[in-house]
Amino acid sequence: MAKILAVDDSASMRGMVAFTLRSAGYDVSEAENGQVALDTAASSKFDLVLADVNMPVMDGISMVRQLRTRAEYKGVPILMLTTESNTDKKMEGKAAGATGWLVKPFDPEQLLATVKRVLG
Amino acid sequence: MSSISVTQFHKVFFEESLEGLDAMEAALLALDEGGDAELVHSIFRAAHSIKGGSATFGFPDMAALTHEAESLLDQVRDGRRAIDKSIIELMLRTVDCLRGMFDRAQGGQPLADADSESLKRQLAAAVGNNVPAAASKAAAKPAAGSGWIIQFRPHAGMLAGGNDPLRLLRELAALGQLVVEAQLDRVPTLDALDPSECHLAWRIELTGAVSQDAIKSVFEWVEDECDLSIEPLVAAAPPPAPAVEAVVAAPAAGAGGSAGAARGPAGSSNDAGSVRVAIDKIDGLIDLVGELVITQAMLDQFREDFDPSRLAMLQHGLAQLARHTRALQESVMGIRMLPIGSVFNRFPRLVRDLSQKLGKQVKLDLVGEHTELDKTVLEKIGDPLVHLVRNAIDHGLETPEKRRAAGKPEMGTLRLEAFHRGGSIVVEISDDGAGLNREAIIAKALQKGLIKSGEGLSEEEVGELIFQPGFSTAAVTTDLSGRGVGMDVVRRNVVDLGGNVAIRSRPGQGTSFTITLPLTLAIIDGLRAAVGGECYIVPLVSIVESVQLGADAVRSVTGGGELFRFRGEYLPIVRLHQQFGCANARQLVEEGLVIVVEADGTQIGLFVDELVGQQQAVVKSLEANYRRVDGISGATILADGSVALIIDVAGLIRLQSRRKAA
Amino acid sequence: MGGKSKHDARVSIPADCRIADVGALHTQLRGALESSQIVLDGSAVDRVDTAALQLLVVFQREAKQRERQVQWAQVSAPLHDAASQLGLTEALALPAKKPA
Repeated sequence: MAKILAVDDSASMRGMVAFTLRSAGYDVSEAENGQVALDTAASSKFDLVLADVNMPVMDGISMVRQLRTRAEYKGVPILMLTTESNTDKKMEGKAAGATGWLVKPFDPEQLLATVKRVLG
Repeated sequence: MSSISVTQFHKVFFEESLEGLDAMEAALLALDEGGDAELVHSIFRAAHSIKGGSATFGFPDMAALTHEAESLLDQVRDGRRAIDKSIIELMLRTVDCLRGMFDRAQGGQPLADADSESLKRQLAAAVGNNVPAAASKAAAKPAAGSGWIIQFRPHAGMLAGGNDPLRLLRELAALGQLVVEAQLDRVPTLDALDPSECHLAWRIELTGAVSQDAIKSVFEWVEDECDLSIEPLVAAAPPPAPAVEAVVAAPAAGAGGSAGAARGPAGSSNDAGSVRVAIDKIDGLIDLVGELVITQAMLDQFREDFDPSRLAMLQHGLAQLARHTRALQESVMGIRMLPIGSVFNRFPRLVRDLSQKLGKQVKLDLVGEHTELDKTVLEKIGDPLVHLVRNAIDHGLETPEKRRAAGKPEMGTLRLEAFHRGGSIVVEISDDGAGLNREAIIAKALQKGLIKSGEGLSEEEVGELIFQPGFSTAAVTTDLSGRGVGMDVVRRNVVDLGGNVAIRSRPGQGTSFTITLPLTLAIIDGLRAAVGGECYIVPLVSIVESVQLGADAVRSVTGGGELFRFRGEYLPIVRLHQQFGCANARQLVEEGLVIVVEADGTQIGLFVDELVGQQQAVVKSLEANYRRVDGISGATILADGSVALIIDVAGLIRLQSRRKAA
Repeated sequence: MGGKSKHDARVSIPADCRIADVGALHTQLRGALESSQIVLDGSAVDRVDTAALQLLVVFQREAKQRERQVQWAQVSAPLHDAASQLGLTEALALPAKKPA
């Protein structure tokens, strides 16, 4: 099953994402900030990365930028988890190399639909 | 998939949000004192997280309020607006209001109230937009024509960014009938090709009753990464499509609806106290368990065939087992340990509000926030600390005028410091105020009949007076300190935690309270004392010294009490065999031993048969297993399986003084 | 079939043939162009993306220009579907029908 990395400093948000995806059979790893995510993504290759924007230590945008410099993450879908008020952040994330975004708030159904859409 | 409920994440959402609010408050207060831009970011981050979470987990009222707060913070963050006192004040009120909302959310009550609604309007007014009327939903979808011609030319970098045209075309195919024509005019030679760049383009005919919005949403993520045109299929001219409206995600109605349902049974189980444990602590535990397993395996070898020549190895193994067990015990206790910072965090706000109210200038120094305390101690130490801090600002620190007159800086300093000392945690609350008002205290004590004369009382003795029940010196009872709680209650709370409070005061220079607390309530270090056939544990922290007395060293006093001279003072003797009714105990003073113990600054001697040894005792509640016994704080189980009672030194001293007074 | 050095080349397309890994295929295809007869084996392909298909399209075009004979040994269903979706069946010279 596809491997997904969920990156969010909020344990509840991360927990919801991970739980939902695991229930659907995906293999999910979690990271609480961009730095941890980079380390995790180095030890294992993921098919999809879901990343919050605002995080301490390393934010989601910097994380995407760095992840995209790695050859093995070329073309791997990375979605920013952002709020609708953050239109600039969506574009900033895209410019850094994100594939797209998922607008908070989202419910488990929306999350699964988007993940399925991206993973095909 | 609707079986997935988000309510199971409510508890952790509440926890992290309350922590976020604490951090937000701390940052706001720091900002109030001229902090930097990073503080604004951290405040924004906290608000942003709460907003996202509350919307996701079905708390729209909370999301609406934080949305306004976030918008205001966003303006500050972007530099569109300078931070000022009014914004900080508004944000602090938002923090308070959200705390209230979380309280109500945990109780399953409606979140919004008049205050929160009014605050939301004020925030919105500050942002400069009125609370929006019901969001203008996109108008009805345009009537769909018979189809569209889509010209799609990705930019070279689109593939590397994770958007595969293959996926986009598949999504289009789900909308209607597709005729796809690939355009190869721009592809380079094989040698020149960078295979991760896209040089293909497509002309796509899509037939079917499809709205332009539906097509645009397929390309939503790649608008900036491709050249795209969407034209109606010729012959059928559909009405011009309106500009695409910003997509507003529907609120998670399902989540909100199920929130109430999950409340009942889940609520009660959630009330059980929980501790969040850092991963490295758990990893440490796992390592230790691993070591134990290895040691156990090593010791296991001796079971098969034991050869006396291997005695040294056996001893080594046992020593290792003892070491690991001890380390494991410490680590497990460590799980209950939390940094005192979580209690300290509430003081910046308290100090700010109080000092403003009283017209005093106070600088708060917090030191040693990372010092860890047992969770139970931590939960109970908050109130005594609040009381001492209030007292310090109310009574200790002077007004700026008085300080100036005394040649001191107008801003007073209040310092909270926590640190380890021996097996204890020490929390000191000190101010550089006027110190105790000796005359006022003595006058009050005389009036209350606590003392007969103020002559020759040392500073310490005067300080002790304020811990007496019913003592209060404030000329005017302010609403700050005058809450019916005196210093005697502070001391009792601390003593109940197995600690004590001492005061030190220097006229004109300040006052400092020192609270000493045990590291943990669950295990104590104690001396095992034999009395008759029984065993008692005397907590090591209370022990001053143990002495053997000659028969002539003890004086009987009228009323049946006994005194002995120790370091120039006469101390009462409590015979444990009499106190607890032990048979067959030694009766003659010269045959037994007197343990000098101290609590609350008072010393007494405990008469026992002999000392058996030192040991750690795991404290079991006597109340829970039997009933409360005066002078006993709990019980423990000894290595041989028998039960020993643990002496409550402070309790015995209180009993003794009552007896004296009677 | 392989082994006739310069005249024969066989390129097996990997099961996971997507952007992060197309570099190796790129090298292989460039080498294959030196041969006069080239067989592409697409039987193993399970996951394929636009980057990989674009590479094969460029290869086919170049092979044609250089008058190489390219034949598909087998084409897996995922490869066929992807090519068809992107309108590249013809440019890739895929057999019209999926192999049995």
